Amino acid sequence: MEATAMFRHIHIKNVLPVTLIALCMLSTACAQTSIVRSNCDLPSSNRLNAAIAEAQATLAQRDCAARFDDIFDRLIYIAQNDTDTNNRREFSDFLNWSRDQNLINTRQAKDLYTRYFSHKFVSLPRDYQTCTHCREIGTITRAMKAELVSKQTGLLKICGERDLYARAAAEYEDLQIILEATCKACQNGE
Amino acid sequence: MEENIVKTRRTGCIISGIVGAVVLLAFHMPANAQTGAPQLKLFPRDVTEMLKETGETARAMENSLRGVIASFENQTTLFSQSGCDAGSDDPGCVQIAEQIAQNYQKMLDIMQENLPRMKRTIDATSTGLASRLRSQLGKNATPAQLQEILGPESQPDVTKGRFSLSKRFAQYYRLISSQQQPLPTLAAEIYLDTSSVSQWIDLMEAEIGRQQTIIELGRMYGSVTPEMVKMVDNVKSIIFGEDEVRGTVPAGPAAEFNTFESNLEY
Repeated sequence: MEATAMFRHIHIKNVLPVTLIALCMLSTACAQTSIVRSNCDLPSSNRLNAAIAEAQATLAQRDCAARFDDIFDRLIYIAQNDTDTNNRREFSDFLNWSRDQNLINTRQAKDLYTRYFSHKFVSLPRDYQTCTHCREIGTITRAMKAELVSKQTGLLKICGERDLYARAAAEYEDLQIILEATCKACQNGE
Repeated sequence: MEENIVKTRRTGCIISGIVGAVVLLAFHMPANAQTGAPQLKLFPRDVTEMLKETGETARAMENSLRGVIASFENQTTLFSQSGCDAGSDDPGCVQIAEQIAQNYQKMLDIMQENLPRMKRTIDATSTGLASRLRSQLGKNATPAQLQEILGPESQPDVTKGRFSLSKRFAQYYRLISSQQQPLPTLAAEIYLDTSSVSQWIDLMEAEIGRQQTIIELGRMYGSVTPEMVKMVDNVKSIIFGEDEVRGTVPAGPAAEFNTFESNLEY
């Protein structure tokens, strides 16, 4: 009886302080966490180069990496009101920087750049033969059509590159004909 | 020790063999394979000759039909202006109606005589092109590589709009012979065109057979039916087309661009 009571006394005596210390540490940690929060605002400048600088400052904060897509979309929006032939270089530099910062991988950087600022179509699959893709030709065609709109934004509105956009539009038409004919030939050969 | 030497020599031989094979393959690999874009041979001689023959057959049929259709249209106009389409049994109306029917029969006969030959050449062209498109673009290229094949050259001068079959196929033959780019688009257009013309010929032959039967049953003599007019209009639009409009397809890539090239471009 006395041993039990003594044990209980020792137990309470040792555990209680430890528990109190742990609680203190936890509340301190929580307080510290709640104090440090990143500012992940979208760029607000009307000029593309200033907006890109803002974007880079934001994305340099690790916590803001998840906002890359929103930030990129905002840059695209801003650039449409700041048309310049050098904007292609600006976006290329920004995407290269983003890749170097591991915000996006190389494939993502290439896809984004090519989608908006090149006459080539990323919607065209790069793997397997054309006949293999004929079952999804409708999906590919729709994706190309949407991509042509992106190129209109990038090449025409952002960069003012009429001729390059005209080339993209002409190749879009040619590719529709070629894909239709090739898939028809593939089906007739089955 | 000797075993180790043998093993080392064997490994060295294997590695040398692999390297040598790779080097040989690289030298013998066509440049296009190294760059990713397949080399194309879409218009072999037999396909080109078939195209030429199709154009010549179409021209022969057009020449035969032109006078007959002109007479048919003159007579139907006269029939209408004379008030014969109100069902008159006037001997003059009956005579005009018989002439119309004879011209119509003549038109059907000319088509029945020429269409099989045209179908043969059209189908031969279509089959030849299908085989090339399937093997070279369908099975030897990815969709992305199809764009690589297009290249930056501007579109060739074409006859826009609908135009006669003979002129269209003569145009195709000229474009192929002059080796103007881009040939993949031209091959695709010709293939789709020959496929649709082949289908039209099938429909037309079936319709001609049906109308020949009706004529033999004597129902069409003595009247100008809407079917006859519709048939003639159909023949005119497909065989003769509308007026030609010559022009140049808007060129996309001819002008100079901003020379910046990004490392991110595919």
